[in-house]
Amino acid sequence: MKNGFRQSMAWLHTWTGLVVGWVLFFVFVTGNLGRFDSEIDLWMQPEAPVQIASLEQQIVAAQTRLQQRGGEWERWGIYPTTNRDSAFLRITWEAPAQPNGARGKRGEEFIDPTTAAPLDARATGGGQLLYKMHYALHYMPRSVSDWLIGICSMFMLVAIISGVITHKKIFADFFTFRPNKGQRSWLDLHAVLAVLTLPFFLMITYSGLVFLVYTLFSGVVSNHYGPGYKNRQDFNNELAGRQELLIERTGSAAPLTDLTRVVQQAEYQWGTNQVRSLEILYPGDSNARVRIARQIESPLRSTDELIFDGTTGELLSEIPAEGVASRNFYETLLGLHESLFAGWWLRWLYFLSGLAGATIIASGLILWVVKRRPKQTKQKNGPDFGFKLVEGLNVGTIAGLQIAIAAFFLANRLLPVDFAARASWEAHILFAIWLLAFLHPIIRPIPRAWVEQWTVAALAFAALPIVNAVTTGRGLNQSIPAADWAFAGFDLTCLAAAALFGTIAYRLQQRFKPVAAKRPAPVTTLAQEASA
Amino acid sequence: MLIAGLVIYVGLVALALLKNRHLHQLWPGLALPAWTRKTLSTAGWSLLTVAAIYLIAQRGVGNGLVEYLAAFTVAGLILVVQFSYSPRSVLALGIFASGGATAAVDDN
Repeated sequence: MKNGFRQSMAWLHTWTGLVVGWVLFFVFVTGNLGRFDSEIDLWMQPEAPVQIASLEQQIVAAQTRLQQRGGEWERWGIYPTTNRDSAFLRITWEAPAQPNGARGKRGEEFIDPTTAAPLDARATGGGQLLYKMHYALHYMPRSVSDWLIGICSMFMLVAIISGVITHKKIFADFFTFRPNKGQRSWLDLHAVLAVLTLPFFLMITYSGLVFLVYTLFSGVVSNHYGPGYKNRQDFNNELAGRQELLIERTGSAAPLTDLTRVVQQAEYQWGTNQVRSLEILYPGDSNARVRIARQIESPLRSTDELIFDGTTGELLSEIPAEGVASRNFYETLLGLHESLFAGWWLRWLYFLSGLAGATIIASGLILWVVKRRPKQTKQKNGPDFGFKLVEGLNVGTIAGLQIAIAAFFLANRLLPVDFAARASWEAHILFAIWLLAFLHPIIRPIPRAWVEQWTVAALAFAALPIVNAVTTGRGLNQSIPAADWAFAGFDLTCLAAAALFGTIAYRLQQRFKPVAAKRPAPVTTLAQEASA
Repeated sequence: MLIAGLVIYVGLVALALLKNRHLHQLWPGLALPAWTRKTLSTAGWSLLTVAAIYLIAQRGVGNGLVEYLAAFTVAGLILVVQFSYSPRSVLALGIFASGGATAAVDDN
């Protein structure tokens, strides 16, 4: 234990922040891009026609396609394009739970409402894959990633609380940023952003943990309801008051009702454009149920629901959005995290807060290095391995991840459209490039590595709008006049990112150059001056 | 949300001027009399409260509070950038924001 409460908290803040900082930076950047997952979906399937089919037409197409696929399913899902969260009409299917209680195999498909066939567009993970990486990571099962992310989030929560306690002049320095003062500026940047976005930061971290509650506190529900996914589903249904869904299959087949009639009833009750999604439990069984959810319009993520008999189409029950207090609390936290209710203004502000969050993490990681550099570079045998490791990981994470994401988007345009494994290769390319970005600081002096990686990141993002224009004919010169905002917004954001990264590269270059010219110095001296 | 953002901005400017560091960026060496400090403090906190009440009344508790915090964050960030790089522009934007918010409230 260090002397005094505040020093203890400062120590705690430093080390909890450092050990998980790199993972959290990845989580923040990919999660933040998820605010625009549907727009990225649109951009990543440029040949997909704009879908303007009526709701009825979409439901018919979805039902046709799901029935064509055949097989016995636990549930189907239908997500029409009635809100920005669905860029294309999407159907999902889930197999019955496995004998060991694990959730059944799931699949999904975008479909064309005019033909009821799968969307005729390039295979891609799309914005959804990028967004899913922020909690499921990649190349590992959910059981592993849930624990990893859960532990990292817990560290982050500790870092936030200990950070607030450590920050002595939280009100006196509320608006204070002193630029060009080395370590002082990094600390100001770290603190001022963290104070101003504290409500967001605390909410996103805490609610992130609440998402994982069934993993982190796995016994709480399963002790009462039994283990496995299906039992948890029963718990959720009971909590929500969906008694009509607490049923089993009868085993006798019965044709599914005409879903358009069910949807018509929902629209009659709620008004047009209010249907968000349909879930069909036990399709093809005589105990089939259809649950229709309404649009999300406030931070409370649960919505009004209607439950119908899946064979007769008769309305069985109405579930209000608000239920028992604990569920409202849970659903509000999750709703705040996902921001599905947010319109354009608020969505961009969420994005801005997320950028601030990523910057807080990055500046904290850099601060760790800047603070120790004077002492480390004076050591007789050069800096410790740990110090050099942190320096290298910082470059590879903070600048390198940007290059890797640009590469993911470039791969979407440049991999052959008919290449069968292209969707998984987009992700392989992201991680291969990121790995290179981690290796690069080993062979280059750290200041050079920073300048080079930011330069590459700037060039890669600047190239994206051009490559898009050449390969799709939907470049900025077409998308802006056509008010094609998904495309224009994506390309303009790439240009803004390129400008930002280019400026960082240029400023760093300016800072390192005069020193390097005066005195061609070994790595360690350069690093020392970089802190000035 | 824009109107509330303007009101929050003016409120934050009033509170920032209570800190000598920022006050002296605009008027070096100026010492505010006690009643001015009291007025600034009351005005600042009132504007921040009014903006919250306005947003909650307009948009409901859930949406209202989220939008309030979002607007607060952005107004604060703008103010930080201004104090760091161009303190004089705080006055210009402050007057513009007061005018804009007043006009918008009149319109309603």
